[in-house]
Amino acid sequence: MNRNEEYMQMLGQLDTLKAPENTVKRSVRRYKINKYLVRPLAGIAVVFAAFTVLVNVSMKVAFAASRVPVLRDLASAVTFSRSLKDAVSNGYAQLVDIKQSDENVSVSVEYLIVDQKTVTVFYRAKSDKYEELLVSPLFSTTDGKAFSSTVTGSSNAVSGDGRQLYFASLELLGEGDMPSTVLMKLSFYAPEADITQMPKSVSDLEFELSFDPEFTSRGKHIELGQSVRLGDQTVIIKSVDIYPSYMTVATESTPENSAWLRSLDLYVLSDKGERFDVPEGVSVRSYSSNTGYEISNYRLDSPYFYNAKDLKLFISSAGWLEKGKEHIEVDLAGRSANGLPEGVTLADVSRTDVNGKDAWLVTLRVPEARKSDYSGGVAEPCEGGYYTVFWQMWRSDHNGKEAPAGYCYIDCLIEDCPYDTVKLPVNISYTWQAETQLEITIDLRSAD
Amino acid sequence: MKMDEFARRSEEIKGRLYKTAIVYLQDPDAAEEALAEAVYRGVKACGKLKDPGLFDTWMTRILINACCDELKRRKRQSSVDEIPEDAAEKYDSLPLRDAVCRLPKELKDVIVLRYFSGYGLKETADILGIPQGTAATRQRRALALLRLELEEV
Repeated sequence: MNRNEEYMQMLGQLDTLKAPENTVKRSVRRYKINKYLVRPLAGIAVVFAAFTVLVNVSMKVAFAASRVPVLRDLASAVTFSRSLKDAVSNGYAQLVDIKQSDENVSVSVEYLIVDQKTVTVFYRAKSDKYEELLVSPLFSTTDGKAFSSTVTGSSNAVSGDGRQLYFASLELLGEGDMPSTVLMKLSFYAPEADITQMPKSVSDLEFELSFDPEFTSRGKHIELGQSVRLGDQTVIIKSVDIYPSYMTVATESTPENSAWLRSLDLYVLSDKGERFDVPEGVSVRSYSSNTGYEISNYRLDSPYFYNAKDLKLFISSAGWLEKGKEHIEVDLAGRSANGLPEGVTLADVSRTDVNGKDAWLVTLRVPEARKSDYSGGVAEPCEGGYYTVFWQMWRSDHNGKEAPAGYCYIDCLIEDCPYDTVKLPVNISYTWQAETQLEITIDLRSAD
Repeated sequence: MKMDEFARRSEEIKGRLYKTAIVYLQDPDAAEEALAEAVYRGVKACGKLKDPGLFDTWMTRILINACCDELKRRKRQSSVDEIPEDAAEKYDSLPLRDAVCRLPKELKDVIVLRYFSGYGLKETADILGIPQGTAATRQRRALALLRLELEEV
């Protein structure tokens, strides 16, 4: 077969393909879920957004999970997380049987995976009235109080046929450990036939989840306290925590640093050569105290079930954000900007509208190498609420003019903003790359 | 553009977008995810699209960005790389499907849109945000690498 015949054959094969039926509807609903059902928590907005991405990317996995009659088959429902998959294949998941129902939805909680910091609950949903439902989980303590600092993950939508397995997860950030009992409320919403309408609430079902202390005490803490230079800044690798659900590496930056640590490329190798990476879609959790210290926790796949004696932590690069240059301040009315990172220029400021509401569009010209610093959407707090910022990259400006070689245009859509001047968050000012990877030994025999 | 119009127009062109993503990514599951991601990005930003006549171009551009993000993600996980233009002989040993995938990105963009998604040269240039002459040049270079002799479509 010559090239032209191959080409004709490819075209013929493409003609037989049909786009999946519900893709457009699913994405429009995902947008609504993120916009209306998900509310970022103060202080961890970026983290929350990153986790939402993971969940969305994994939704297909959740949809694809077939009915699993026995526990070992649960592995097919946790392929979105290597750590959870390992937990299941090592017999760590627990079989539970809790059912709740009302006139619209019946839910059967069937499995959970819990450790000192995280619980992931697996359930099926059945509805005679609705083929598909959107779902939003809420976890609280037994007296109904919300946890102070958490990340919640969930399948976004469930099929009402009762055959598939979905998940909801709660991860505790900070000092607190998983209590012996947690309340989980699953709120279900029915999509309207007109997909531009908000889905209506149809059911709230609450479950009391009690955990065996044997599982909620599972975790290892290893103190390191090792100071390393990453370019012109210093970072202390404080400790490593290993749970069945994930591993974290905690770092601390000192007030003497002239930049905040914003990204760290790292991975861990066991003494048997097994490698543990930062899972796709999950990023750093950072807390800045008033003292100028910055503590970050990097989450990696867990080596908990691998029986390693020692681990080695490797660091290859770091992204830094210069202090005092955390935002680009844009005067929307005056069409000018201050605090632009090196190489970035303001290309345009214009008015637009989003679904009939006024919005601003700020266009930056950004070096290609730095374009990944501007992505996704974030909520910026302001008086009386927050305004949303959404980045989108283009290769030409709005008049079709191509960006100069080595540059691209980045649009920033600003919604719900009542001000003439806004601060757009900057992620990274510059990157440090190691000539030889830094190597730090983690002695598991010193674990608490 | 309002959300309901966006949803309707997206339904109309989703088949074409899906095929474009298939050629880009060579994987139906990844193509579906890229399409879903593109629609998500589109619905979030559709309010700023003033001219509905530009919808196809605009959405295709978003789709290509989504496909590129997926390819970057995969590149971190595997070693499938572009073959540079000065190693033209390496293309000859590959099936066309793989050869298209391993074209340098700027050439692949043009070939996929022109010969697999069915866009004209001007539309292709508009989608990619490049002058029409540049698109024509890239098309010639790509066809030469692939050893394809195709009529203008």
